[in-house]
Amino acid sequence: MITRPKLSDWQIIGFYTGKIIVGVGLMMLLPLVIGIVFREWSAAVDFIIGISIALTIGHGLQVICRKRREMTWMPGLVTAAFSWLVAMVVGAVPHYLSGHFGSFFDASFDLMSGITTTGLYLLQDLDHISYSLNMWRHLLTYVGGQGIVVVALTFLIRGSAGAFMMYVGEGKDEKLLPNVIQTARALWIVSLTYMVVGGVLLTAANLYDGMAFTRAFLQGWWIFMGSWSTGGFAPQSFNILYYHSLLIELLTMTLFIIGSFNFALHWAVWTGNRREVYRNIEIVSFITTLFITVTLGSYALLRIDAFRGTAALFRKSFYQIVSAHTGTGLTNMYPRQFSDEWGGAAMLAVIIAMALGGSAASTSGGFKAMRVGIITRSFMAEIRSLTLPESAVLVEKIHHIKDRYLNDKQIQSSMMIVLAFIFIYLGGGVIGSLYGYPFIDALFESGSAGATVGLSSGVTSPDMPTGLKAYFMFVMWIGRLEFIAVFALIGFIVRVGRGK
Amino acid sequence: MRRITGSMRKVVLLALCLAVLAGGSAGAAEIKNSVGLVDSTILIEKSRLFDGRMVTYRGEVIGDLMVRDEGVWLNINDDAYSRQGEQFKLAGYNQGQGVLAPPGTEDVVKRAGRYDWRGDYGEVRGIFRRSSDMHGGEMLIEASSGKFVKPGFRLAHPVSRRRLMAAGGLLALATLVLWLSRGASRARKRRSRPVGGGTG
Repeated sequence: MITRPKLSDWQIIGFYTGKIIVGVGLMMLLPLVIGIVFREWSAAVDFIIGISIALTIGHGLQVICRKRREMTWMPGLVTAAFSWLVAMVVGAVPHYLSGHFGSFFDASFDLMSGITTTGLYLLQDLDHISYSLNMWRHLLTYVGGQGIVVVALTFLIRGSAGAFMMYVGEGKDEKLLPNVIQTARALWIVSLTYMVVGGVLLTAANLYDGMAFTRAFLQGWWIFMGSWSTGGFAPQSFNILYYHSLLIELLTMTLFIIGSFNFALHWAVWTGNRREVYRNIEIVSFITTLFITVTLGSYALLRIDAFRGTAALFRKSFYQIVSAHTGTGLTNMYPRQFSDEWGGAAMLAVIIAMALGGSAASTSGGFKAMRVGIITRSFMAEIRSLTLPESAVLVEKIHHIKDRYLNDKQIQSSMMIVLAFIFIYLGGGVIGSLYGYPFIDALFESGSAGATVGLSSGVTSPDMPTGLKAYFMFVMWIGRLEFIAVFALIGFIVRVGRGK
Repeated sequence: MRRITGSMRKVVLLALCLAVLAGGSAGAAEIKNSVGLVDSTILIEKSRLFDGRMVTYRGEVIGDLMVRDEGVWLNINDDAYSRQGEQFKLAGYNQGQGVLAPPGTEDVVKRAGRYDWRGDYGEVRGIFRRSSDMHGGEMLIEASSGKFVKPGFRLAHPVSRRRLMAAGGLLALATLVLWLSRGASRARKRRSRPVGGGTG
């Protein structure tokens, strides 16, 4: 028998969602300060409205849904999924008020894309938006990379009981330290350190490339946020091509490769275990699949003479495929070059790279290197078992921070998630085709949204059918949270409707 | 997906016809390869057709002028916004083309387009490269000349009185809810504190 959720379930979900929404409101203070500093008064007023709405809803929920018991698994997962939806709506207020969107729905699309670190956008006339709105776009993607729940855990939620459920619901399951709140803070220490180093380097590169100081500084920090979080947003419509700079391309690529690594690996290296980099299954898996996809893509491009010279071929194909594989979406090409110049085979290499994704417990999406590694190992073990006597027992090990024995449950769960991803990628391809787009373009875009990448073949645009926009928003959300939390929320809704 | 519109196709065909006609006269290689006025959409969609040809391209200078050893890098948008006056109207994504202009261009271009500025609108003439081997395979126009005829102008972003009042009202509401929330939280803490406990 399906039971209807209790009042205390609603209260606990509402209470913690309120906390998270307060966090979103407080984040808007930074763009507000930027707006005041640069005298963008109209944009500053938009942010005051956004902050006020976020704080009213956030604190209002906390007053109404006074917490009466500790968090358990189901409400924890539901809170993680639900708070992302509320954050999307509340965070979209300054976007919509900027006047650069056709509708509030379009503004919500950009919010979902930002917090899920996807990078697709429907914002119009990006080249004339305010500094404060650009700061908000990039801040969202930076914070979304760590996870909005992680932000709340770090700054707003005291006491660790139940917090781990929300943390897992956000697609992370690595506990770097015994306490989940300490873990959330550790993630921030790593991220903020990279932010200082990366921001300074990119500012210096912009200055070297001939930009004036203020612009070099702001754009340096923004492209850091877009790179490190594997977000893919850039402050100008030309994306990374805007800078016409090899130096910027090398720096951003380094940052998004590092950003796509598992936070547990970062923490291991941080705490002195440098050998982990060479032994970790995710790194081995990532390098192998990257080599395969870059070779495939480059060969396909070579055949159609897409770029003149090996250096040009390598610079373009390597950047695009690494960006795809890490789930970033930054590009040093015009988006339409994919469908107009790359051809089906090279686009397929990018689609495969996007689908595979970066590491687990990182900012990137897709299958994740860990699952690819586990499935490959189990596949190899299966083949090897055929050559062994029937009585032989084959034990397979993987190395991730420590040696771990593979078991059937891990293999099964990896396969299930990979299958679910394949389903959402193909679903978008089919829906896009039904709307009249070429299948390869629709599949490319669907893979990009589902794996939270952000590269575009030109399908995503403000004129895109609303149904397709909604589908892409859904797959960004479900792909970023890796299904479980969203399934818990759907289950909760079913219980509300059909429970007794 | 963007499609080549009828007018775009006409522009290209006309430009190519002119180029062929011009090719018969005077014998200047530059004229032979010239295709006249183009836009960024056609350059990207038909890049092989224009590769290595002299093109004329018009638009608004955007963002930054990046002065380097090889020249000045400009990003020039030829989208609907580049032709808009002070009145802003949504017209889709930005579109443009990267241009490598000769040294000294930074003295000619006074304003680049940003939040509060419409950039200088001008015309550059140069060779279009589908994949420049000198610049890592980048698609660009190597401009040899240019003129910026329409100076940039300030874009006003007035604060609407209604929005200002809404901001004030919502801020007051947020403060009230925050005060209620704090009050409720303090009351709960008082209730959960052990009663009594005097030393006597």
